[in-house]
Amino acid sequence: MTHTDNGSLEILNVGAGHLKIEFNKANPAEVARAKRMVEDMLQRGYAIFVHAEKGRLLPVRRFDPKTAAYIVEDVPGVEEMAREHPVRPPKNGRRTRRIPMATAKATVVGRTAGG
Amino acid sequence: MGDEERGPLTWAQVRGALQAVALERDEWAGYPMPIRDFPLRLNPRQPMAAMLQGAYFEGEKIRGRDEESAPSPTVRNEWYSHRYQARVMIAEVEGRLRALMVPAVGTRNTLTINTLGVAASPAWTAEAEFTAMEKLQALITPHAWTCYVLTGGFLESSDRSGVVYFFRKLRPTLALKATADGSDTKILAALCLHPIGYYEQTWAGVMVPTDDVIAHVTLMRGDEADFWRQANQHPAWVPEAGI
Repeated sequence: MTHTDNGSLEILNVGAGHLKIEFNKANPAEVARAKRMVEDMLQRGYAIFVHAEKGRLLPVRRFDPKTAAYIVEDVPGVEEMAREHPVRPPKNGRRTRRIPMATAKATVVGRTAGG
Repeated sequence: MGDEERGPLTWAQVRGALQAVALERDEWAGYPMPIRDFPLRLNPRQPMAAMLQGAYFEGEKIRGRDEESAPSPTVRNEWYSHRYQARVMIAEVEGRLRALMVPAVGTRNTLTINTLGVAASPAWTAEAEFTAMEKLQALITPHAWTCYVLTGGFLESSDRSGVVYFFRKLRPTLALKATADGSDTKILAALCLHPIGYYEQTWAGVMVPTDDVIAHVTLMRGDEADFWRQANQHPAWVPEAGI
């Protein structure tokens, strides 16, 4: 996993190239704002990807606001993650993992249109 | 300052105001910038689509597609003619069926020039492009980055599918696969996709060119099947493929 002391969201943005939102896990106000943003973006159809090692990107399927964790689809072969986060039983044929938002780096892409 | 002392709005001010309104409304990806001549084409599920779908500037007035009076012909059938290097359409025009031909070379040139037109418009800024390039550099290998800076494109293969992707600035991403005997590669499709939307009759998205590339790389690595599902899949020989 790409773990940092702080979590971050980089949102591809029309005017700015991208917006970078960093939040300190020790600051409840910053974490609360980031939680609200993530929930809102998922509702609006944004695609969120958590950065993992070897350049892998894990798609966020859901978000648990109670534990402030991304629920991502499991990618086989991510050994480091397997040690840190237990694999959940498959649901609908897909394994998921929980990644704490406060230490993850994520890239966000808005709804797309085919050209 | 009195009104008479204020000059006309600059494009930078319009862009800044649009982005401020977007953030106020929690539209984190921002609002697209309507420009002259090239109507916006947005994902219809975007909240701003109702307001900005088809919008473009005509002089100082903003227009929308719905205001155009001339109805477009109803296309009954359409195919690509290799013999004529053209798209052939059977369309209903004023109640009669007619055959129409759209030459590929002309269309390709039009797309190229129109895309330059978007770059010359206030749609993008160099600063936003440099910001996007910094992010792309952090996502890809140094070798791929060198290729991108020098040519506007780079290759990356998918561990899952074995498909090799040729990511290109201001052109659809080419999906390549080795032939069965391994002696050659074939183009499976040219995948065209833009976050938020794009300008009609161009290869330009509403975000700066490298942001489109980042979106393609991110979706391919994160959810390859969804990348294909969301993208418009052009065959290699049509002008829209950008080959």
